[in-house]
Amino acid sequence: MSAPPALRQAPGFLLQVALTLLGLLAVTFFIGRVVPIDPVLAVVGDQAPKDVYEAVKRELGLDQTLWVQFVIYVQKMAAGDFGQSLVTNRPVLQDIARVFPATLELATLATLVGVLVGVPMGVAGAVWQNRWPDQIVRVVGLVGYSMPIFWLGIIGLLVFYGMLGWVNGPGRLGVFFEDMVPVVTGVILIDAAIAGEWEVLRNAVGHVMLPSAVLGYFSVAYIARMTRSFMLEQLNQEYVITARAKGVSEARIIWVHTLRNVAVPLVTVIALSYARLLEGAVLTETVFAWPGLGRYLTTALLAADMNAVLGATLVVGAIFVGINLLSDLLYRLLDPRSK
Amino acid sequence: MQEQAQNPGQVPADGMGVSADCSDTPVISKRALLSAGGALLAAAALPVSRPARAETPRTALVIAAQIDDLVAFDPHHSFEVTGSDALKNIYDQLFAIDETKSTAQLVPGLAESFTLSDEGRTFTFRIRQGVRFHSGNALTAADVAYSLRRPLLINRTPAFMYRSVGLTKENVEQNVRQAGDFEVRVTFDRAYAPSLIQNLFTATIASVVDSRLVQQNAGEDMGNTWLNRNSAGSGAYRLTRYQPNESYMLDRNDSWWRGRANLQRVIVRHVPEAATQRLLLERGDVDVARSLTPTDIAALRGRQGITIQEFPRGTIQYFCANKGDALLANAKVVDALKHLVDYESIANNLLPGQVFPHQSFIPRAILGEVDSRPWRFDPVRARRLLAEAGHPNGIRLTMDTANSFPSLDVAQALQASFAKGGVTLEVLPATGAQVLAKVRARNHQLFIGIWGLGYPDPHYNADSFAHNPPGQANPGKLTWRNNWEIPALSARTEAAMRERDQNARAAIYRQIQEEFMNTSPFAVFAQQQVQVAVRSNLSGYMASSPGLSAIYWRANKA
Repeated sequence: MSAPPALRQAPGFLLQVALTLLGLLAVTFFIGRVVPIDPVLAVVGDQAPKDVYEAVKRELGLDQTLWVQFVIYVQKMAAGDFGQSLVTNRPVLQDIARVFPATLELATLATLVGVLVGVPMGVAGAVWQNRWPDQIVRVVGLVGYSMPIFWLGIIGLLVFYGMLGWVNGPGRLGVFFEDMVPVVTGVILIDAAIAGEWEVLRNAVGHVMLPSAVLGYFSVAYIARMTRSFMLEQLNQEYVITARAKGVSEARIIWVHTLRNVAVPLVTVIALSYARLLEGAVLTETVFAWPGLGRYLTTALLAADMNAVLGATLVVGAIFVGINLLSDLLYRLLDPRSK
Repeated sequence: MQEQAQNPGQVPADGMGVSADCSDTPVISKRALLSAGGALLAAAALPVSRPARAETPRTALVIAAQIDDLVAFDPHHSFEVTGSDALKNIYDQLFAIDETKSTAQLVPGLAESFTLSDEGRTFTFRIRQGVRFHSGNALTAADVAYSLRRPLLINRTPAFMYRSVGLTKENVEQNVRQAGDFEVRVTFDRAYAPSLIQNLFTATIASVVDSRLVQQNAGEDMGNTWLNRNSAGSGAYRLTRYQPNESYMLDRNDSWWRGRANLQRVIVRHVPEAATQRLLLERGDVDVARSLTPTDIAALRGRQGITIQEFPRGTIQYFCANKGDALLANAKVVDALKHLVDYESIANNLLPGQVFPHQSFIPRAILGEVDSRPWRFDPVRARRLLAEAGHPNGIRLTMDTANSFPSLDVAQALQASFAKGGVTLEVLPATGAQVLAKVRARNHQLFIGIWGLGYPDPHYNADSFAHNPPGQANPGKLTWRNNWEIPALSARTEAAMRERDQNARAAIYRQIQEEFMNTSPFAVFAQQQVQVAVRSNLSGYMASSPGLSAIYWRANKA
């Protein structure tokens, strides 16, 4: 028996992934070296005498040609050494292991909100096209596209935290709850549940609700509009007329027949939206003091902390590759033709 | 780093491309409506946790601040104010600045007293007995000698402060000697003013670390990595938790030799957005909002339960003109620019409460300060000076600035006030690191920046604003970066460094500054102060002090 096709394609696919990541690394690396920022100064400071400066320059390998520097860097990375961050004085990998779960938590919840609210809204908009539910979907979508997220975040904080007190404030946890549960996954909601610390979990839920809802709103706007247009297309297909003629209930036509066909392109839309959120949402993270990947990358960029920038960029690249792969797999599951 | 979840480019035009046959749209059944509504409701009914109307515990001080510039917790590595704010509360230094006075006045720290050798180069410090580190280890002269050598041996940014008084990696073993159980002898390359050495030894870099504990955790870098996450001090608090870019927590040292601190715990949390800090304070989730904008302060003023406090800090704001530029080499042009700064308006309208007018390079409260402010906003005079310099139709200039508050904001204000004198200013914002590289290479015309005092002594600033020994490339000095050739003034700055009489020393700095204000290519226009909002039940917290750092140990709650 020969290996299944997926397995036979695996080596080619892996090569493709490796080349993509290498290309990403190369672009980031050379841009990082071309910008007029001196990484030596970031280490030794502004006042260092020439000999100290030169010594550190040699230590960092910056006296080598760019190509040699790049080869050395890739070799180290392949061995799992992403170097040390200048800002945190910790290994970059350790930093990412800390900030990525924070982003993962936020992005996953936001995407959930986006799917759970956005898909029904899109369906409603298509089914009642140009009637009031559709108008609501349109307005929600329009506001979602045009409202700056930091403004929405601050207003959300002001109303739900400052005035009503329904949610907890910024940050992932209240200061007095920090470090109360052992880190297993880094996702506090899961770690707290594993440890059985329900107080911590409650506190964490109170903290994550608002930022994930704000971020989720933007997913809702996007997913609802895409669902609506996919649905409209399907509702005019002949199989729908056939189903109606056969007396199939309207609900069944919409939620079973049509939505299944919509699911295929929708998966791509949701996956893309999820991948974007996983890069880290800098403004949301800033407003909510959320220590995620986006803010880590921004802080590193502003501090000319190139090891951290390269490491985080590679992670973002890997996420995109991973999510693409995942949506490909889902495609195959959902679309019988691709089997 | 896309912020939004969607790319508008991918959105199909609403309704277009879809069948226009709307009448065909089926009327939906009640059941379908209910199931759709159900999904919506389920999503909306997320579990709601019920936060208590928050109030921080009586025994803890909780501060919301921007601490993402905090790079190092090793006191011999740290070079940011944010780091000093924490480290001065964790470590003791040989000398201290009396935090209860409004000007910087020296008091003994771990050194009870000192004697000077006849030629004045060797200081013998008598170390306080009976002091214990947080670990329980007794503090001795061995710890002091180790701590004085270590900054040069690990050679991180602040080591330049010790190099400026002649200590080097090579000679420090020889020049810093333990002379007894409680005596340490330090020999400098010249006979410096005792006040200079004492002030230098109040700095964070002069923190005394628990040498036994550090050596146990030395690793390959003399404990640098370890000390960046742990503390080994003898001060008011010890570090119990630190997450870079997130928060740090300090717990009280109950047996501090200066007397126990009032509050048991200090938590400083990184909250990057000022509006968020304000909400946290209003809700009572923090006691102090450390980095508010003038707008936030104005909104909070007079609010019940909240008090606004101001603390001067040793940071000045200035812009400088590169004399290597053909236009700016002319002193009249530079004078014209100095007449085009609206000094009062910057302090009163642009940055109210965040700065006060100041025109010399030694900040107020530091030895040698002068209060004179010779420059006034005078566009008419500026135009005349430009005409005399041969530019009756005005000039065009560029100004480099970091793209952050406050420099960028002031640069924009200067754009407006310069225009009134016929100077067209183009502002070139970039990241701090980029601007620094450009200015160090002397490729700028005008540069606007802020300058913080590293230790509470006039020499620290004089060294950069009024010292440029001829024939040396000194990219660290502001004078060199602006091609300001001042052999005579440099000699006086060196003399001030060695003047043993404190009053005579202050007098030299006052003369240097008068000349600096009149002739330099620098326009110092303001000194910063920290403006914080605190809960009214908090007393004694100092966001800054004449010793240049925050003080937590006096804080108390009603």
